[in-house]
Amino acid sequence: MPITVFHRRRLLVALLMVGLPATALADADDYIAAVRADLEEFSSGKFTLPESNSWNAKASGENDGTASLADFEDFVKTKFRGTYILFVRLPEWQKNQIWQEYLETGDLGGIRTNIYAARQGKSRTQKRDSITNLPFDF
Amino acid sequence: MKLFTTLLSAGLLVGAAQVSATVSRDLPLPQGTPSADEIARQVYFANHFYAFKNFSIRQRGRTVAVLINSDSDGSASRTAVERHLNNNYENDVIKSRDLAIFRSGKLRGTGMLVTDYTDDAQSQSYMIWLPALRKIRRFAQPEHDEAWGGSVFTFGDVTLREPEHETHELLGVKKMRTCLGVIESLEDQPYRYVDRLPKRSCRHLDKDVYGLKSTTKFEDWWYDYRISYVDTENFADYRTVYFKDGEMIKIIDRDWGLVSESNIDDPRALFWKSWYGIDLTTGRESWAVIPQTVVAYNTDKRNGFWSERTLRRIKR
Repeated sequence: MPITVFHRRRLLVALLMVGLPATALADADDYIAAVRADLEEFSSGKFTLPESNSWNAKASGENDGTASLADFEDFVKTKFRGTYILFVRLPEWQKNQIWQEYLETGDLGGIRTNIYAARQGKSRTQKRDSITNLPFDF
Repeated sequence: MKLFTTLLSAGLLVGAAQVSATVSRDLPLPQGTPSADEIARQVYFANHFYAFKNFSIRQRGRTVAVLINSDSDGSASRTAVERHLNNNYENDVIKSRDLAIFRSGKLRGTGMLVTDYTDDAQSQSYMIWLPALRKIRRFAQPEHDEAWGGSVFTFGDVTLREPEHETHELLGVKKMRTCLGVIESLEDQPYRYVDRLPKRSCRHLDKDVYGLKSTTKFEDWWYDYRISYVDTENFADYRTVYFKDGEMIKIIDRDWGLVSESNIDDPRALFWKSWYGIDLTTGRESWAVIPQTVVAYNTDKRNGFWSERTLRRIKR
């Protein structure tokens, strides 16, 4: 039986439909591989992930500001160049306080709010209203 | 039914009002190393916001929480939703109430009020305000394995599953090694309602997590067991991986924030920042994003706010 245009179209549609989930999963391949490697650590006690995998940021050396206060200072410098100028002028205890709060809440927008509040000498309850257009990077 | 399913899908964005017989608001933190069952109860506590009197994800200006569903062909749909949960009932009848208001799409102006009762034998009450009809309709509780309208999450994942529905086994403690998932094509992109979608969260890397294996007690269920990564200090469950016939079939990641600047002396006073899920059998993804600026807790709202009257007053 000859393959008609109609049959070819049906075949094409079928192939596309089979291919679609594979395409979506391909986008998430690195993520799935990372999750798999993470899970295997429960049984093997070892975590091994290819260096090219971007789902283990710390392994690839990316600074997220959580390792130390110095790292946090670099992190602020990268994320908020303008606010960093105010941050470096703060006393050590205030820098530490802002860092600790970031570690607890993970609120990137809160870093800037807290730095402004600290510079203006506002209390912890007042500072919430000091900036309203908070970025939301997480 | 589709409308109802979609409405209930908003349960993700604040958490469930449903209450287990084994977990209540006065559940204490475990002393020493907790057992697997204790961890499961603590996770339930955190996910139901029992550390708070009330908890809201409100609309603030143009900012509001959004749920994105992405199909395997890359097409995506979104729903903006406002949620208010109230755990502050001291009577013997009502345990909690949960109000959802839809702020976008075809469901704009629709509201849903879920009431959970102290008596576990009494099923939950679902009331939905339909703005086109200007009437309230009541529905029965959905099935655990029912998918939320268009998302990869089930009602069990979001609200209905209770600790006693599974047997729990502690796999051990290890470090969290990988960042939490996002829809990669949308990561860090400008997006309506949230200004900009977040980047993947790697804040939790190197935190100590329990590995909790939970095997379902339901027969012929859609998964055999699931493994959850649970923070050893605050019981936030960052990741859950589902298995069927030995194969990984679904992953759900949750990013949590800890409430500070409060008088809540409880490490379990947490809030969701995002949920991400991927169905490995279909390639479909879902992502709920909750900007921190719209989160409010322990507000002065009276219990009367969680009522039919509020439903009827929703503006379309």
